[in-house]
Amino acid sequence: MTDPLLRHHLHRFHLEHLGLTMLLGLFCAVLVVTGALSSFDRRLYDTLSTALPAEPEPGILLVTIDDFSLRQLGRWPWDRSLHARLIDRLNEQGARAVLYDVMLAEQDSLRPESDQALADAIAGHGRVYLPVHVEQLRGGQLVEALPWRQFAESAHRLGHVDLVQDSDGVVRSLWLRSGVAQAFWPHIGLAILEDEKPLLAQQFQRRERGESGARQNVREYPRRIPFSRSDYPRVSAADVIDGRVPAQLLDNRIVLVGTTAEGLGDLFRTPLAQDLRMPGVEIHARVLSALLEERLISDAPLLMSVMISLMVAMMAPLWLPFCAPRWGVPMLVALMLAGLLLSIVLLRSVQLWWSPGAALLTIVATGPLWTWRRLEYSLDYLKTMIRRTLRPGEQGGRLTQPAEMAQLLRMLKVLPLRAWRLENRAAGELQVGGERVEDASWQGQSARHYPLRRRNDEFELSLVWNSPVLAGQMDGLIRAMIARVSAPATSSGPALRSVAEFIDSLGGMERRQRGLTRALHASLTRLDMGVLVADACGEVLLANPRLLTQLELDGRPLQGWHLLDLARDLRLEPAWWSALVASALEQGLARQDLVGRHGECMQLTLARVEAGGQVGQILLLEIEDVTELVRVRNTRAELLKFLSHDLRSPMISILALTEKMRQSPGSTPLPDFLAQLDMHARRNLGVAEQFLQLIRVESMPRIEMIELDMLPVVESAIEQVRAEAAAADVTLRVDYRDDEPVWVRGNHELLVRLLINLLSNAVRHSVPGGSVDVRLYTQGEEVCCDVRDRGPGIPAERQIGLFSQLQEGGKGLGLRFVTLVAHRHGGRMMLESQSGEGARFTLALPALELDEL
Amino acid sequence: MRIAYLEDDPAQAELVRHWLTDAGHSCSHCANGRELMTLLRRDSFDLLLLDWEVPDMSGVSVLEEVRGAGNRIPVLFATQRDDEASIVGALGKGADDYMVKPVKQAELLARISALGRRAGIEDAHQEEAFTLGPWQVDRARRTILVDGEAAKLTDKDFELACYLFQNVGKLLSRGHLLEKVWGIMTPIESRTVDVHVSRIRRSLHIRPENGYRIKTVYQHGYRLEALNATP
Repeated sequence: MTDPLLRHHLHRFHLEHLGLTMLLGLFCAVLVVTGALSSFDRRLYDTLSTALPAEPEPGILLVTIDDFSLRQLGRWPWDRSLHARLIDRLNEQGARAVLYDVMLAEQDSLRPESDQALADAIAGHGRVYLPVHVEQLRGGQLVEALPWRQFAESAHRLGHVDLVQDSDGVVRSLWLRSGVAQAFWPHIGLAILEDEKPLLAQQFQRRERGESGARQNVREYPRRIPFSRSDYPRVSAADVIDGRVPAQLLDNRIVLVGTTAEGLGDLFRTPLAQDLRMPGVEIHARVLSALLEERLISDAPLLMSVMISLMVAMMAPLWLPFCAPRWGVPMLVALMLAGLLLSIVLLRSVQLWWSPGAALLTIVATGPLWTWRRLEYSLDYLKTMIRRTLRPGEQGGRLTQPAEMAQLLRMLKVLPLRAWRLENRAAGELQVGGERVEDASWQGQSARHYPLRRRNDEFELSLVWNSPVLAGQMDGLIRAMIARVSAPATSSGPALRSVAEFIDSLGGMERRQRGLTRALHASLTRLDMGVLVADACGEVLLANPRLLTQLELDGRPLQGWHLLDLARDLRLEPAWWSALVASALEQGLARQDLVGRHGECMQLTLARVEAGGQVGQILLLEIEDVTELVRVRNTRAELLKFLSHDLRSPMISILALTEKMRQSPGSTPLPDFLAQLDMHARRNLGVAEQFLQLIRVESMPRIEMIELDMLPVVESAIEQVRAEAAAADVTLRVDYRDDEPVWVRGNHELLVRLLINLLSNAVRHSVPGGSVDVRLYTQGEEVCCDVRDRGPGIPAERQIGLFSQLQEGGKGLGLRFVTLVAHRHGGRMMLESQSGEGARFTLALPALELDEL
Repeated sequence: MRIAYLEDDPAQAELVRHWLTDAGHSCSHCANGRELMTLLRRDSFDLLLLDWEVPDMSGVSVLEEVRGAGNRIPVLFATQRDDEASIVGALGKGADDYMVKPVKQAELLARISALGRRAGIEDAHQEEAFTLGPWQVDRARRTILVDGEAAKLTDKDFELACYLFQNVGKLLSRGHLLEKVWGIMTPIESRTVDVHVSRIRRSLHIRPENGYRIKTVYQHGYRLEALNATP
């Protein structure tokens, strides 16, 4: 983190993130404390708790006063003696304890004997538990509704049977101890537990507290009832009374007696099935069963609940900063699942209910909040970066900046334009240039219009070209110019407002950067020399195609390529190459001459160059083909040698002649003297001309050629040596066929000179009275021209190198020219000669198939 | 003829002056371009003979100035530079013909007389039938007899041959021939003229043995030359 800008941003980011985390924590805590999500939590609890595994306690049996019993034994309320008979039957059959959940609050003044029978039956059994109700009377007064004294006294114990209905009317929990003013009554299940498993019941002991003055319901030990889906065995009360129940079913069981008939009221909605109401006695059976098996669920205390919720919820903001953006949402989902899982685990293993709703909502809320802040920060950072990069004169260099308008206008002036105008639409300014043109021209075929945007100005550049063709041809160039001067409106603005604009400017940056790289590569590619750039470590960064061709490395990837690996490709000793690199590193520059694969002369330059910026120093390797340079140098030396002799010697002869004449004027007759002077002067002129011809052709980068008929070429040449031939008494004969086209692609002037060279050569080597034969014909794909003399011929040993070497007296000059011209026409020269047989020079050029015009 | 002559080498100037006056022409010599331009404003001439390389103002500049002023006077160039580019350049600027130094007497006089015939007689020579060397031209029948034998010619071959025969010694550019023979006014890049010249050269046996030849002047054009001047 060397970047102070980044550090500054991170600092701010950390501070704000801390604030965000605390805010989320507070939010979570408030949700927990207020129970704002209770309806969600209840729903979740209902789903989770009903799925808990629980086998009904086998010692419990329900005896239900159901519709069947009412039909068999008469309508409700029953005579107390009927209850007495039921208890008696249970007693007879060996029920261990009887929870008799039937209201027996008043005495039956009409049949006191029935009451007595019941009281006897209760007392007779010895372990009958009777219910107490805490009731709210009209006027808000609370009373404890106990069984009629007679029954209460004979009952084994009393216990309350109140259940807690939540605000949605569903029974989920109960208080294990309850009472008016003090929590006196245990739940009837707890009462049984105290007898059955006193050790277990210890934890729900009555707390001794001073009696509260207010007559209000005081309750302790809130617990949730696990509503498992399993059913409890039940028998009908009528069957018990009538003795239809087998004894082993009742023997040593805890029997819960209660009403289940539809009309008798005692029905509640439970989490199991909220439409199907459950009789109170069945709920009590579940409470008892849970008490016996320690399966009652307690709520997590408030403080604990807050702590767990915070622990779970804070994971999200704490982990998100370390998480890649694309894993953000999966992580949040995982956290939510983990919260849910924690809730299930607590419920199942320690019977503790913790409501995860608040934590889950907090996690959900973290997502967008975090994304919002992160985006904001990323954008802010990038914006600053971009603004910094766009600042002129920074590392991006000229190409990352749009060009000046004035530069474009300067360039326009050299283009073949009749007129141009630049209109600033916003400011209404107009710049014009070129000649005056009529208005119609701006709409003509030669006109083009280019809209362009530069910062907040909109321009239109209109051009009128010299011709419509140009308008099309130059379109690409103009577009390139427009692209260089265009600039997005916001790039220099104080703020990049929207993400779209931001991305746009980012795109512009990227395009310019890419443009810079492309321009660099294009420049490198076009270079005539091989260039390779390596960093200070010697790793090759880039190499242009020319270099790859020179070293025959085409297609080789640059990846992991080291400068020192090049020794073999350069055909240098590795030690020598290493020394060369070392000297370049040390002194900044090293040079080496190389021989190319095809014998070319190469010059290698290795330079250490300061590149600045992140790259620091680079090593620049250049390989230049200097073959041509060397050749020109050699030729020049050769020609100088030739000039110093061949051009000077006739002059010296002339001077000698005139000197002699001056000293002894009468020794040579004047005509002889003039003839000798003439000869030397002509020889000199001839050599000079040949020399000039040769130099001219050698220095021509390209020979201009047209399709031409060889016949006039031959005739022109013959015409020009005719005088020379006549003087030497040599006959010139031409042979060609009228119907044979002899067209070639060539340069008239050079071909004529070529033939003149051959002809005058042949004439010079002919004896007086002899002849030189010229034959023009086609052979295969070639047009050939033979020049044949009957002179002494050329011995075989002299034929080798005849066309290339310079010889005494400038003779080789002419043949060298001949060969050069033939080659540059894509043709060749052939020589056939034997000593004493004369010589035949043949020029062969590629024949041209000419369409009949 | 009244000839204005630009040449800076006194020896050559003296020699050429001598030849011209001998042949019955009058010759005014100037050693530099400025002097010649002054002379041209003072006097009128039938022909300009210009050296290419002269001090202070080259022959080309003189030519450009003369042609720029709308003067159609025939111009003959003499130059040491015999490379194609220079010669085609000068012809393109409006010179009528050129010669390469060293200049030969007979050739110079022949060119001068060919150029002299030029003014006013461009299309005067519309004889129905005429004879030149071994060729007998009959316009009415559109035939040319070579040594009494009829040559096989296309229509355009005939027109081209007639035009060349009527302008012996004159340098005729391709564009000029296209215009006169084919009636094509805009110069086009085509080998049409060359192919036809090549054909009549063969079918009419226009070759030195018959006393005439068609000289190709680089990429510029053609000249039908009579060889009786040289042995």
